[in-house]
Parts: sequence; structure tokens; C-alpha cells
Amino acid sequence: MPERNNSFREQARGLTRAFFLYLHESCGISLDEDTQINLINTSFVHLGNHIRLHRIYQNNIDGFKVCGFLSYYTAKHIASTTTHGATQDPVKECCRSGVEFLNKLLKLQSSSRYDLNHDDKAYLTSMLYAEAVNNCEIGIGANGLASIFSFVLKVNPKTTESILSKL
Amino acid sequence: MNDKFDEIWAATLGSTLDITKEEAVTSNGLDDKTASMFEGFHNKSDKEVLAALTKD
Repeated sequence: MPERNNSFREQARGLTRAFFLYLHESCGISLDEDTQINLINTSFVHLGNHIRLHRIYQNNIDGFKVCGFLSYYTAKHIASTTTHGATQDPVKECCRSGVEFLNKLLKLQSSSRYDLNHDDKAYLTSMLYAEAVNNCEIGIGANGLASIFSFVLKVNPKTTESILSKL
Repeated sequence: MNDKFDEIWAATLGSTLDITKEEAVTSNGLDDKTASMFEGFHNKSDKEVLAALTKD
């Protein structure tokens, strides 16, 4: 058990570090250490509740869930601290970065067999953005976002067309 | 950062590891190869971490 705990903790540490590095790399958004820690805490509290309530056994840490929660809470944080709706909208850029990061996880876990196309990523980005700016009835939150990527990894699309349209 | 992370871990996700396969409704998680990659990031530079994400 201690070995499993240490292994999962390091996986989670690696995921969160990579997530914030990629956020900076992909759209220039740099969050200070305190903000990162607060977002990790919020994400892990909610993800922990989700795992307990739904009784999920974890083979390893769930990267889609960790980064789905981080994407959502980071976008909400950016939405609460910046002006959104402008052409260069930092909330939209943050949502795009989160979806791109999740897609990278999908590619890594499928040995590049699955790679969402531009339209699918734009659709997910748009829904995450709606949720982050409180248009919840037309948006998608952390659980939905993570589930979509998990399900895509589990299905076996026979086409290179939009994967989401086949679900 | 590392100490704070460890505290958060212990109080949140670390405490969910007592759920057993037998009582679970579903199982999930990274495949072993990808999990290993993220686990090994502790001794990698930022540049190496970003490069690992984009490798084909």
C-alpha cells in the first residue's frame, strides 16, 4: 500500500507539473506557485469526492480525470480574474490548452492511434469555455470532459472522420 | 511546492486508494507505460517534460 501510494502520488505530481508547463508553453499563461497549489487542491478535493462516491478502483492515477478537473478549475480561475469575451480571450486559450493537453494524453495512451481532429477539439473547447463562464446549460465540466476522452480511448473508430460524431 | 503537494495528496486522492477492485463499480487509470513516464518526471527538466508530451 505505501508503495502504491508513492507511485500514484508521483504520477499525479508529474501530471500537474506537465499540465501547468504546457499551459505556459501553449498560450503564455503563467500561474504563480500559490495559485497552482490552490488549483491542485480544489481539483483533488473534487476528484477525490468523485472517486469515493462512484467507488472507482484505480489501476494507476487517472490522467484524464486529473487533467479534466485541472482544466475546468483553471479556466474558472482565469475567468474570475480576467476580462473574457475579447478576441484574445485568456479563458478560451486556457480551455484550448486543457483540451490539447487531454488530447496529448489520448495520443500517448493509444500510441498515436487516436488523435482528435480540429473540429472535435474546437467543440470541446467551446463547451468547456461555456461552463467556465457560467453558461452551464450549454457547457461541459470536469467529469464530462474526462469521460469523453476515456470513452474515445475505449472505442475503436473505423474512420478518420470526427470521432465524437461516432459516439 | 513539493511539501504542499504532498499534504494535499495525503488529504485528498491519497485517501481514495483504499477502495478495492472487488467493491468498485469501475476501474480506470493510465496505462502502465504512460504512468511510468509521468512518475519519472521528478528528475526531468521542464524542457524534457514538454518534449515527452509531444513525442510521436
